[in-house]
Amino acid sequence: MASVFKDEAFFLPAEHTYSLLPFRFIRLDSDRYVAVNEVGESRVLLRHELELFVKKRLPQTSSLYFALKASHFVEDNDSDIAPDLLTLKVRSKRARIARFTSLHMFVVTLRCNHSCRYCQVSRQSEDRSAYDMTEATADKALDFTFRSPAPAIKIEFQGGEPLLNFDLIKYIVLAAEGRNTVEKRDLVFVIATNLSFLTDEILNFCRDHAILISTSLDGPEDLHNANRPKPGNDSYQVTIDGIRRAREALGVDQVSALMTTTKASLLRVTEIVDEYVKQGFKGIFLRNLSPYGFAIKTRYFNAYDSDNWLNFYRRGLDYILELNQQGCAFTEFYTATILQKMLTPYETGFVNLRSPAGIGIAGIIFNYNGEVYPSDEARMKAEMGDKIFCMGNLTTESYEQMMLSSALLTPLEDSVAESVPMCEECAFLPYCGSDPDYHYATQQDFVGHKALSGFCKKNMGIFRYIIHKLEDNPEARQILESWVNW
Amino acid sequence: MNGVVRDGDKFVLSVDTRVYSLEAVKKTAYKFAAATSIILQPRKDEIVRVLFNFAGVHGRSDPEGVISDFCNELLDQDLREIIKRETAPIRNLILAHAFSRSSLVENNEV
Repeated sequence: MASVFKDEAFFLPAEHTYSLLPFRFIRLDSDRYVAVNEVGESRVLLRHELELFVKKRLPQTSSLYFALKASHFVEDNDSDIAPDLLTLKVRSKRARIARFTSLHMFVVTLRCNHSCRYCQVSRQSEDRSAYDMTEATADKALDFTFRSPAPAIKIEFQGGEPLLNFDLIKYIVLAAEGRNTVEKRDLVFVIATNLSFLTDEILNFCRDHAILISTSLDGPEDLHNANRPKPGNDSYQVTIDGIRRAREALGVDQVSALMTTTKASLLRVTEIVDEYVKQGFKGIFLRNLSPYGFAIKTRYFNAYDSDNWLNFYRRGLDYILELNQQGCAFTEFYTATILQKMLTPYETGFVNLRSPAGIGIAGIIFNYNGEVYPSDEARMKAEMGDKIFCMGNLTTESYEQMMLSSALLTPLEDSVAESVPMCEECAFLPYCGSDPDYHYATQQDFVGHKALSGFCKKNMGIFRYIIHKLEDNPEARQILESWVNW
Repeated sequence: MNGVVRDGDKFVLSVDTRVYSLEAVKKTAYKFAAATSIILQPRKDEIVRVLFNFAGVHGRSDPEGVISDFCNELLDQDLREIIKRETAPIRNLILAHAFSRSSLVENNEV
């Protein structure tokens, strides 16, 4: 009598009935590879698993197959929805491009009271008013700012020490708020300051206009003072007092700090993190030196290489994860930015991890003299005598002339990572970006040879380290996932 | 190391282009610029000679390790070509669809 049941083979999928969807892969370690699709979804797999999958020999009943299918690496007869879902995610990831240039930086003065050895801006003495921005220049910069199609606009005041020209900051804030009654943008102000010149009048104005304060804190007192010398050698105490006063006046969340890693910092990452915890910050951005401004002149940039910095970063991240395991909620912000790209369909606004590059279309900077640059780094390079990135001057060129200038469009077009050798096939491309400033500074080329690039080496090292943590350490994964805005 | 001939600081690896495409060999060579300098020399048959030079700035590299990694990367490039060949049409379709009806396209049309 014939069985009422079909043979087992009837229920198994026919061989080779799946199609690959676009993805890239890269070696993760000696045994494993990581495959990443067009929108950053990833799977870690062994070499032979990768080969079986690509050559259509991976059983369609295997858990790996289902995992790859769930992450849109494959479509088969059961479902053809994956390309549509990928399309939507690509569109979400790229949505920022149409809303370009949200960050506008105003260099209201080049004057500064500090003489930091790594300072990325050529600074002048305090009494040289020739290096202050004028109201007329500020008005033209505001005209430019509100030409941006971005619904959210951040105006950041930089220097030098911007509080040395606080009258102009007040002028710009009031003028921008006036324009915004019509423009209706989501307008935010930030002052990047060393806090030396903080007064009650300044704090009251900041409170009344919801202005954020961003300052520099390089670590414990001796390290901070060594990195950031000023007359009186009291930079640390001035900073700590300023943070306290600003928090009291504006609220704890209105004040943030940034650190810069010097050679003296390399063996002290736990102390630096401890200092941030002690001062009540909720996280830290472990930031390496950039090859610009005084960091080059004083040879500070060459004081350590990518390997040195990666060791610093790894020890720092491990320590921060330990702190979290002990109940201290604390975030490493660069890692959090990358996790956002790895684990969500949303792109971040971080300037240096975008393709097309963030220059000009993520942020733009108005120098004190009216010159317009597509990034702070480009402005620093100009202060050293190379104006290759100068888009024009507010007094002589229009918005259209500057935004369509070859100074902006050539590095943007040349460096699109999807068409750059090595980047175009790199699995980490959806997490990374292009940095024409960096590669021009180090290789005199907007694209740069990525096999020789410190930017590439640093970011690849970080991506691999984060993926290792996510894959191999469930407790770390739980903490890292808590850093992401879902 | 099998298939590799040594000549002083130089090592020669012969690659059959019936197995690996010339593009895969070139892409692999490009990736190793930090560890060695490479010259590709075609022969009359379908063999490409990959000439590794470890002199000068590359004197500290481990030649056997570098060439071994080169061979592994060549295998990876071969796999990448299969993926690229199969997925290029759907990738183009996804990207075209993703950017369609976006303000970027509309602006360009204006």
